[in-house]
Amino acid sequence: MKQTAVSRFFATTPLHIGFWLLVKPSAWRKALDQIDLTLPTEFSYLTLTPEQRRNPVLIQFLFNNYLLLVMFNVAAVAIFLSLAKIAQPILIQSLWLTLAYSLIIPPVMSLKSSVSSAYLLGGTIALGIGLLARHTNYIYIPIALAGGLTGNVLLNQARRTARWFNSRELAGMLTGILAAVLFIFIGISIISGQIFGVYTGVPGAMPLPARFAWIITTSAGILYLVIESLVLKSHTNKRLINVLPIAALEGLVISVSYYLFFISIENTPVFLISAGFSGGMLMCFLFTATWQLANQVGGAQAGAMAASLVLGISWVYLSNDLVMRYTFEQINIVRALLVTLAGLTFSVWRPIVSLPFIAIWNNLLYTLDSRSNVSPLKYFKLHAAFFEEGQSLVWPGLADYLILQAERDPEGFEKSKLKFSDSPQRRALQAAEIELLARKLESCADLASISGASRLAQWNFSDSQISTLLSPFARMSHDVESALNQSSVYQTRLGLGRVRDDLNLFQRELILSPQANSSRFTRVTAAWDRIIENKIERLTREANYHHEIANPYICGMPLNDQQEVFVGRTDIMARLESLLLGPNRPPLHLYGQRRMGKTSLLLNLDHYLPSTIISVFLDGQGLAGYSQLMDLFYYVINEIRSEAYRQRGLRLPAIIRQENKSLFAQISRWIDHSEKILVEHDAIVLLMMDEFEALEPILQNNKSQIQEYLGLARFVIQHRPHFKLLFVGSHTLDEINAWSTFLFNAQVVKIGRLAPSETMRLIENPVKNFQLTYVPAASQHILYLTRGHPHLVQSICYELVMLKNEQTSSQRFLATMADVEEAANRTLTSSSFFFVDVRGPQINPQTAAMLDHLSSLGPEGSISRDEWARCFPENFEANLALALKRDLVEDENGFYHFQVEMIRRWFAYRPF
Amino acid sequence: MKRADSRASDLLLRAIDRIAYLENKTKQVVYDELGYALGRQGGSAIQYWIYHRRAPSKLEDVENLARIIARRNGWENEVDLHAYLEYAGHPSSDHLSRQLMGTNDSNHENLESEVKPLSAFIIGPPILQPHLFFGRARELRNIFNALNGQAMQNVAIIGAQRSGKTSLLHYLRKITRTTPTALRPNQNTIWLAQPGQYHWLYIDFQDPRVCTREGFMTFVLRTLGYPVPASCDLVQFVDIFARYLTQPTVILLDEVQIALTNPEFTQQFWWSLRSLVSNLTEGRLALILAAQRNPAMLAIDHGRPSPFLNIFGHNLTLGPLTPEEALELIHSSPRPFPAADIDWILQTSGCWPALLQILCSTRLVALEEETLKDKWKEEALANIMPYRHLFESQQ
Repeated sequence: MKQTAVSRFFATTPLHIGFWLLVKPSAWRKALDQIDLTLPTEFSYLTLTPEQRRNPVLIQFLFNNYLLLVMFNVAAVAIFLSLAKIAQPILIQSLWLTLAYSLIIPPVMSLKSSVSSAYLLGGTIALGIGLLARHTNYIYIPIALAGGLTGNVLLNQARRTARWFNSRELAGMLTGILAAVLFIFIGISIISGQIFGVYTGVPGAMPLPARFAWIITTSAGILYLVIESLVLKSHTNKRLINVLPIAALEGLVISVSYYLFFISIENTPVFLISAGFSGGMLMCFLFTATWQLANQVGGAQAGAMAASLVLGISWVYLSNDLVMRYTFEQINIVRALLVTLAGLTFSVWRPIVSLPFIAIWNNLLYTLDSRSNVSPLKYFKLHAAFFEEGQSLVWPGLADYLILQAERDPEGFEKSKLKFSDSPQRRALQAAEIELLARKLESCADLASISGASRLAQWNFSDSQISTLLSPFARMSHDVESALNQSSVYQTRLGLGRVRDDLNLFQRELILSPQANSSRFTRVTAAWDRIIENKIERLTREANYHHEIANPYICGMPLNDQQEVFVGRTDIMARLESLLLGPNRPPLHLYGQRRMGKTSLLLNLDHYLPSTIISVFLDGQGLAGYSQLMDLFYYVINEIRSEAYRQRGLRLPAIIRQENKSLFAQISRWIDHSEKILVEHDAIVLLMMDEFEALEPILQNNKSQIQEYLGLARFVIQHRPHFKLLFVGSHTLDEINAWSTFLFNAQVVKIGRLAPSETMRLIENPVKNFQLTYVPAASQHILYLTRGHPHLVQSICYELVMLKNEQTSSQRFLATMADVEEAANRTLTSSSFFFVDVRGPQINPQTAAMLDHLSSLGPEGSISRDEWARCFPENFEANLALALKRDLVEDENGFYHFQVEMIRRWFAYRPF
Repeated sequence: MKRADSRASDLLLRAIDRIAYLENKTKQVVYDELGYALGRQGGSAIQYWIYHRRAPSKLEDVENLARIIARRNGWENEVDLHAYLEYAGHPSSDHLSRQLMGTNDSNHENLESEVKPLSAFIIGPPILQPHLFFGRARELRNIFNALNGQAMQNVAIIGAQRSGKTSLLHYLRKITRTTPTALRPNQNTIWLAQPGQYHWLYIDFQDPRVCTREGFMTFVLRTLGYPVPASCDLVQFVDIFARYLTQPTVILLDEVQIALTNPEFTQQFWWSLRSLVSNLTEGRLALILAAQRNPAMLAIDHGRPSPFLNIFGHNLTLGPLTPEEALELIHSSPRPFPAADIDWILQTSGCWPALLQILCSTRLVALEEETLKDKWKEEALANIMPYRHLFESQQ
C-alpha cells in the first residue's frame, strides 16, 4: 500500500508541483506528508533537521524533480522555438541559457530559500528567458512573472496565519526593498567597474581584460559572501561559522561565473552558461535576501511581497548592466510592476477569470455523468471543486452534482462531504444535504417512517438558520414516535392531534419565512399533514369503538357562554327579562343556595336578554380588595364604560379622578350624562353584582358615607330607568344587615334546582353527539339522587364519564344503575368541599344534629314534626327554619325528609 | 452602533412580526401592547429600539421584554431568545432562556436521567425526576382531565403526611414537558393537548417567601414574569394577573392548610383568588392544592369558612398505590428481589409509596452488602415506624 502511494508519488513532475502550488496547495502538503509528516509546507534544505535532511526519499524526490525540471525546460524551449522556426544559432543560445538557469536556480533556492519557490522560480525564469532570449528588451518580464508567482505562493502560505496587512508588515516590506536597492546600487557599482574607476560599459563591450575582470568579480564575490553569510545566519538560526562555508561556496560560484562571463566571447557556450549561472545566482540572492530581511522585520507577508517586487522590478535596471543590447525605458518599470502584481495576485483573479470556462467544463461533466447510468460517477472527480482550491464562490450546479452522487454512490458522497465540509463549497454541500433531507422527509409514506425520520436524517447543521428550519421536523418526528408509543388510542390521537396542530403552525411560519429553503419544506409539511390527518381520521373512524368519552361536565367553575353544557333556566331568564324591561322597577335580588348556578346564569344572561341591555358583570369577591369607595366607584364606572363600548359601541363619558371634588357630585354628574346617551341610543345598563355580600367589609369601612351612596343608588333606580341593578348572592336579606335598608323593596328572584326535563337533558344530552347512553333507570336514578341540583348533576355525571372511560370498550358507552351508584359514591369524595360547606358553615351544630338523625332513617326516611321536636327540643323551630331556608329538607304532609338524596347520603356518611 | 445591539434589534423585530402574525394584529398594535406591558406610555420605546437598531439599555427592560414576548409565543425558539438576551447583554442568558421557554426543568431531567440509574429509591425528599415517580394513574387521569377542557377546573389533593402529595405536584408540573427518552418505557407523557402552552407555578406555603400576603403576590407575579409593583396590594395583584394572563396557567399550592390558618391570608384574599380563577381569567387559570386534611374542615375548625374552596369541584384523596403500581416500583430495583421479599414488602408497606421506597431501599442495600437473611426486615420495620400514621389514615 505504502509502496503504491510512494510509486504514485514519484510519478509527480515539476508540472504537478507548479499546479499544486498555484491551484491546489493541499496536494503539495499531501505530497510532503508522504515523504515526511514533519516537513513544513515551506522549507529550505538548510532549515531542516539532520534527520529530515538525510531522508533518502526527500533527497530522491528533490533530485528527480530537479532533473525533470531541467529536462522539461530544455525540451519545452527546444520544441517551442523549433515550431516558431527560430534560427538554429539562436535556438542553441536559448537552450544554453535555459539549461544554465534551470541548473542553478532550483538547487540554490532549495538550499537557502524554499523548495516550493525553487521549482516555481526556476521553472518560470528558465523557461521565460529561454523563450525570450532573442528579445532582450523583454527579458525582465519572465523574471517579474516568476517573482510575482513565487511571492503569491509564499503569500498564500503566510495568509493562513496572518490575515490583514498591517503597519508592521508595511515597515518590513519597505525595509526589505530599501536594503535591496542599496545592495543593487553597490553591486552595480562593483560589477560595472565604476567603483574601481573602470567602466565596463553596457554588455557588448566585453570581454574585459582578465585583470579587471578578476578585481571586479573578486570584489563582487566578497560582497556576496558577507551579505549572504548574514542572510543565511538569519535564515537558519545557526552560528556564522556554520553558514560561512556555504556562503563562501556561493561567493566562489558567483565570482567564477562572473569572471567567465566577463572574459569569454559573446554567445559562446561558456559565456551563456556563465551568464545564466551569474544571473540566476543574483536573482536567487535578491529574492532570498529581501525576503529574509523583510520577513525578520515585518513577517512572512511582508517578506513575500518585498521579495516579489524587488525581483520583479530590479531586473528592469540590472538589465542595463547585465543584459546585452538592452535599452532601458521608463515604461518597463510599469510593465514589470504590472506583471509582478499580476503574479502576486494570481490566486485572487485566477478563480474569477476562469470561472465561466470551468463552469462550462463542470456542466459538461455533469451532463456526461447524468446521462450515463454508471455508478459510481465516472467524471465527477474531474470537477473543479476537487482541484480549484482558490475558488471562494460556490460552483454553480455543484449541489445538483452532489445530489446525483448521493443517489448513485452514497459512499462517494460521504467522502465528498468530508472533502467539502471545510471548503468554500460547503454551501453547495449544505444545499445538497438539505435537498436530500427534504426528499427523505417527503418520502415518508406512513407514520412509522415519520417517527423514524429523526433517526434516518442528520439534523445537525452548523448553520443556525437551517437548524432552526429543520428542528421542528425532528421534534415532530419525536412527537409522532411518542404518540405511537402511548398506551391508549385516546392518547395516541391526542398526541397526533398535537403534532398536526404544530405542523399547521409551522407551515404558516414556513410560508411567511424569508429563508430561501423554507418553501421547499412546505411540500414536506403538506405531505406529513396528509399522513397524520388520515391516521387521525382512521383512528377516529375505525377505532371509534375504543376511544374514550370526552368529558363535557364542569365542576366548581361557573359556566360561561362558551360552554355548551349550560342548560335550562329559561323560566328565570324570562322572569328577569320582564322585570328588567319594566320602567321604574326596584332592584332585583337573585337569590339561591351555593353552587346552584347563579354565576353561570349571569354569564349566560346575555344570550337571553334583548340587545338593548348592556350587561355589566361584577364579581363582589373580586372587588373585595378595595378599601376605598372612591377606588371602587372608579373601577365600576370604567367597567360600565368598557362594556357599553364593547357591546353597543357607546362612548359613555369618562370620569376623571379629582381628589378635590366630591365623589358624590362626580358620580351624580356622570350618571346624568350617561343616562342621556343611553336614552338617545335606547340602551339600558344592567349592573350585575355577583356575590355582593363580599362587599360588606368595604361598606363597614365607609359607614359614614354609605347611606349617602345607597341613597344615590336608590335615586338612580327610581329616576334613571336606563340603569338597572341586579344583586346576586346566597344570603337572604335578613342575613345581610348592611344592605337590608337598600334592598328592602328588592324584587327577589329565587334560583333553585333544575327542572326534571332540564336535568335529564344535562344528563343525557349535555353536548351534541354525546356518546354515553343510559339505561332508562340509570338516568332517572341520577335525577333521583340529585333532584336537579346542578352541581351534583355535573359532579355525578363527571365521575360517571371518568368511570366509564376506565372500563373496557364493550362496557364503556352504556351507563347502568351500578355505574351511577359507583359514580355517586365517588362524588361523595370528589365533592367533599361542597358537602362540608353544606353541613358546616351554612347551618348550626344543632341543625346538623337534627339532619344527621333524619339521614339515619334511610333513603326514603321521613320524620314527623312532633317526633323530630321531641328528639331535638332545643331551639327546634329556629333550627328547622334554618334547614328549610337552606333547602335541605322539605315538608310533605307534616313529615320532613331530605330534599336531595345525595345530601342525605353525605349526612349519613359523615367521613369527617 | 454596536453590532450586538443591531442583532438584538433584528431578533426583537422578528419576534414582533411573529406575534403580529399569530395574533392577527398590526405591528403598531404589538409595539403599543409591549410598551404598555413594560410600564410605558405606548410603543415608542420599542419602535426606538427597532428603528435605531439598539438594545434596551436597562437590564430590567431586556428581561421584561424577553418574558413578555415569550409569554406571547413571540420567540421562534430558544436559540432566538438566547441570542437576543446575549446580544442585549443579559448576564444570565442561558438560565433565563431555558426558564422562559420552559425547557429548564425538562432539560435538567433529561441530563440527570442520562447519568443516574433508573432505579434509585428515594427516601425523604419528594421525587423531582419524573422517571422515578410511580403510580397514581387514576389521579393523573382525573387531574389532567380537569385541566384539558376549554376551561380548566380546579383540583384538591388531600393526603396524609408522606402520602406523596408533593411528589405528585412536581410530577404534574414536569411530566408533560419531559421528553420520552428521559422517562421509563411506557410512561405516559401526552396528557394535554397543547402542553407547551401551559405555565406551571409551584408554591409551597412552607416557603418563608410566600408566608405573607404580599410575599405570595410578589412571588407569583415575579415567577410568572409579570410586572411587580413596588408595593403590591390585592387590587393591583388581581388587576395585573387578569391583564397579563394569556396562556393556560396552573398554580400548584402545596401545604395549603398553612395558608388557610395564617391570618395574613384574609377572607378578602381568598375571595380575590376565587374571583380571579372563576371570573377574571376565562378559564385560563387553574389551582391545584394539596393539603394533609380536608381544607374545608380545616376552615370550619378555624372559624373561617371560605367560598374559595367551592371552586374545587374535584377532590382527590391520596391513598396507597395499586398493587400493580407498587410492583412496578419494586421491580425498578437494579437487583431483583426474591419473590418472598416482594410479597413481604407489599404487605408491610400497604402499598404506600413512601414505605415502599424505604423498604425497597433497605432491601437493596442488604442485597448489595449481603447482610444476614432477614436482618434487613428488622431494619426496614424500624425505618418505617415513623410513618405508621399512614395506616391509621387509611382506616
